[in-house]
Amino acid sequence: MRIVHRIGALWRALFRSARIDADLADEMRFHVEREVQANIARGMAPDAALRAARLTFGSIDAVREQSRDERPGAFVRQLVRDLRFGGRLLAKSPVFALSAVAIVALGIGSATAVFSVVYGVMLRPLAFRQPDRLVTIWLDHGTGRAFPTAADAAELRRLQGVFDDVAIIRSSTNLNLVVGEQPRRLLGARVSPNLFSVLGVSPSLGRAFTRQEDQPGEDRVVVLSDALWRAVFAADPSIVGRQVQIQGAMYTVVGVMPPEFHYPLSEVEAWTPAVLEPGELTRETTNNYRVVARLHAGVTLEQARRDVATLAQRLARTYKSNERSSITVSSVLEDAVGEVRATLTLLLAAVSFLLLIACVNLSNLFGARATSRSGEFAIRLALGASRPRLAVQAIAESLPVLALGGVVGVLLAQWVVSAFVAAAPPGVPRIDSIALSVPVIGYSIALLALTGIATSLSSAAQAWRSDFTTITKDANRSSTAGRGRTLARRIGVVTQVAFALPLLVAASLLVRSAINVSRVELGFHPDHVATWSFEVSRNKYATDQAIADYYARLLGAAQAVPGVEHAAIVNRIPLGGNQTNTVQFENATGTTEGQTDIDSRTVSSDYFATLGVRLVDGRLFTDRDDAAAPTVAIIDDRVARAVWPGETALGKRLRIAGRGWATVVGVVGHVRAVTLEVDPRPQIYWSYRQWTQNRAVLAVRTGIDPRSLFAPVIRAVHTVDAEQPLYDVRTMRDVVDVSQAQRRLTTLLMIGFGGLSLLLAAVGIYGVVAYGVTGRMREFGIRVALGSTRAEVTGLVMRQGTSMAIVGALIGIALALTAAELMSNLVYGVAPRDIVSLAGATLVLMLVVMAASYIPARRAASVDPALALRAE
Amino acid sequence: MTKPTDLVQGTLDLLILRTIATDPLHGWAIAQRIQYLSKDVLQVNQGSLYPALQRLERQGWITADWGVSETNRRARFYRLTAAGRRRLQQERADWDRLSAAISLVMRTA
Repeated sequence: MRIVHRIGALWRALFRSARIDADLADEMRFHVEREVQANIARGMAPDAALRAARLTFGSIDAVREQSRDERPGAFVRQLVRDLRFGGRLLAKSPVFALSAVAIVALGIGSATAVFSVVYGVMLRPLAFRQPDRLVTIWLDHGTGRAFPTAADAAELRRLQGVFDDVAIIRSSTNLNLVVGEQPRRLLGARVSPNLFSVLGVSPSLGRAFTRQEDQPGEDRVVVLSDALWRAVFAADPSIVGRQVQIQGAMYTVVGVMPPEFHYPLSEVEAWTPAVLEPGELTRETTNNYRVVARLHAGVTLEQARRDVATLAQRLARTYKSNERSSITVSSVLEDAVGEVRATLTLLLAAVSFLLLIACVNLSNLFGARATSRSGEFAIRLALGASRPRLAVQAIAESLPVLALGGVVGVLLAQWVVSAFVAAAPPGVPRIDSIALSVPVIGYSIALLALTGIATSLSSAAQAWRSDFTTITKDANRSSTAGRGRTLARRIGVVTQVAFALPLLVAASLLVRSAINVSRVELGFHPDHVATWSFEVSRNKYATDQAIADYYARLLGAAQAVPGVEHAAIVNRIPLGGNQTNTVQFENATGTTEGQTDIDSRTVSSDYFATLGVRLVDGRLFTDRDDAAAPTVAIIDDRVARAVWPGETALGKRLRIAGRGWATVVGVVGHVRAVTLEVDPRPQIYWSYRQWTQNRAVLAVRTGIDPRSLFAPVIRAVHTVDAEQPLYDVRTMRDVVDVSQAQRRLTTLLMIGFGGLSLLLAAVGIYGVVAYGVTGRMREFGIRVALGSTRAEVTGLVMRQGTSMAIVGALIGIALALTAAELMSNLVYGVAPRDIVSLAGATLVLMLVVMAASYIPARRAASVDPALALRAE
Repeated sequence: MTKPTDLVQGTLDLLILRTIATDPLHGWAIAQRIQYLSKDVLQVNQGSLYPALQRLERQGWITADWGVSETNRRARFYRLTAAGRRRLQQERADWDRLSAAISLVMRTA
């Protein structure tokens, strides 16, 4: 009750102030009238009565003043007055106000934008029950992480008291969904029925899979994503129990997941049960699965890692496929973040540096303003203002700047973030959780408060140290009074240079890396190649033979399109995903270390001509390499040299688990197949007629613009099968470019941040040097009069700027060297402590600094000694 | 006429609370009543009366309503709230104890 009463009083005092004043005035008027009447009643003359009444009452204004001061919220009203005053001061110097607002907006805006991405991707908890208890489990054959097999997952499930449950997910597949007449390609995941219970998410409609639904015959059930349910089935609540046609077979819809559920990829639209093939649990056939598990209550990640490591050793002893393999356990969040962690950490560090530079810059700007107001402060002090009041007034000017800059910055960030989400480079995980959420806004407000404190300190200190005596002194003329202030400003400049340099170094490292990546030997020629991806329905083309024949007919149709020079089928194009297998070599004479985890591709005979892959030795596939013929393989020259050094690989034999021995008939050039930057595995090619897969990419080489073939080839495919959906229609050049989009964006951002920091540092140096010059014009006049040359004066001034820059650059180099680890995962073909980038960045910085101090130096040198002396 | 005694702030609050304990009064009447009851010894300085009234109102001990005065004019009438009544009792007890103690000292010393 008491609190409510107080709040009511405060509210009235703040917003009903005029009303209270009017009431009080009326009340006091009544008092006086009543006194007058009483006086008349006592026998006084009317005007004497009025005078007497006024005399007893005293000053009405004084009462009102006292009443106002005693009212709650006096401090707030004071502040509002100061803010208005600050606003008026700013309005008088719009250029200063605008540049200060721009600096705040850029600093806060870039920090907010980057942090909202960092928060959405790296920090925001995943939409699962107790997501910190979820782990993903990987095998490592010494060539990076690989998916375990179903047999490995079964071993993990048998570990006592480590995991509550273990779920497996087959790599996502393209499914052909037919609703009505329309075929639609969708991305589906085949999962163990317990996936939803392991993740702790229930369908929003219907049910999850039952334990029996991974048995053959029971598996024709599907769970839909919320997005698919809305897009294709118009959010029909009676969808559960309905039959839909997927891959030519009828599936029953059993459930719909909630909108925020995405797993294992955000694009997955439907989940079907994964049915194990016979022999998978006994390791006779192998498929690879993503494995996700929930830790048993009370089990830490370290404990799980220890137990799993023991298991890995046992498996390595027991099974040939697990030789030299270790098992890694990582948190699901860490896993979801993946490779962008390094980029995001770098960008977050970069915006923090940028914001720091902006703060120092603002602090210097406002400090200089406060200095120019020192006369005003002295007068106020003399008139009785307290020092705290002066300090508040000095800060008042920065508050509107901060508020406006903060709002503009957050709006800017909102715009940038939505643009980024709309056009993000591929490979940014959790893109749908990136937004200006409450924690992000909280972070920005905290940053703004810190910026405010940093900015206000110098001006508040300036006002606090005000002195009556400064009224009588011309502050500009004295060279000693400002020593402390000048030192603070110089430290500011040194700080800006020191923090700008690492940003420039990072930018130049990324530029050099991008150049190196663009020079990477691809192993194929991406120009003049167009590609179409598709998925063949096993229900329509039941046997490998039928699929292979279908491919042959498609190739024939594509070949007939005018302009097509070569046409080929491959299960995955380079840089378009990969399939890995463990290979065993017969009679290896060299090392098989690092060669057994291979990249497999099944191709048609013209594949190498279409992509422009070089034949080194032997022959390519022919149409006679079919299911009836002996199995053949083509390997790349890297594995050929490693495994059979100094002799020909032709005629040698190799095999992958679950398939028979194959004879090497050809050796081709190595291709950058996974990414341009990481090249972990050797490559082995198989004839599509001997190992037929349902996922395929049709690729053609042409002499004309490959885009002009997009539509004609689709028409040609539809003459063979009118129901065949095609997707990811791209040129090979686009595939290569897109694989670099993330690097390009990071590089551009760092160039932007580096450029901004350079600009701020230059403005900072210019400001301080120019200020120094203004104060020393008389001195320069005397120097010139005594015979100094213009060049000497210019040099004198420039040395001032350059000396600050040198100190800053030295600190900056130390900072860049310390922070180099941040770059170690992002550079390519250049060391994180690359001397060229370091020297280049320092040189650019010094040149800009010298240019910034040259302008005031010129002004100093052009001083007219007569004028400067006469100004006395 | 002797010089009116200056009132300590707390004392003025107590007097106001006591004056309006029986029925609502406007500002002028409160001043008059205090002067009359103290036989002209206590003259309330109007400069401190109105701020005191506002203070008491803010603390929730008294509330004011606009009413019509004995001269047929709009005036603000102050009256005690329940909290103000409790406050008055407490202040009064404190005052009694204090004044008794002071007069005891004065008489015997």
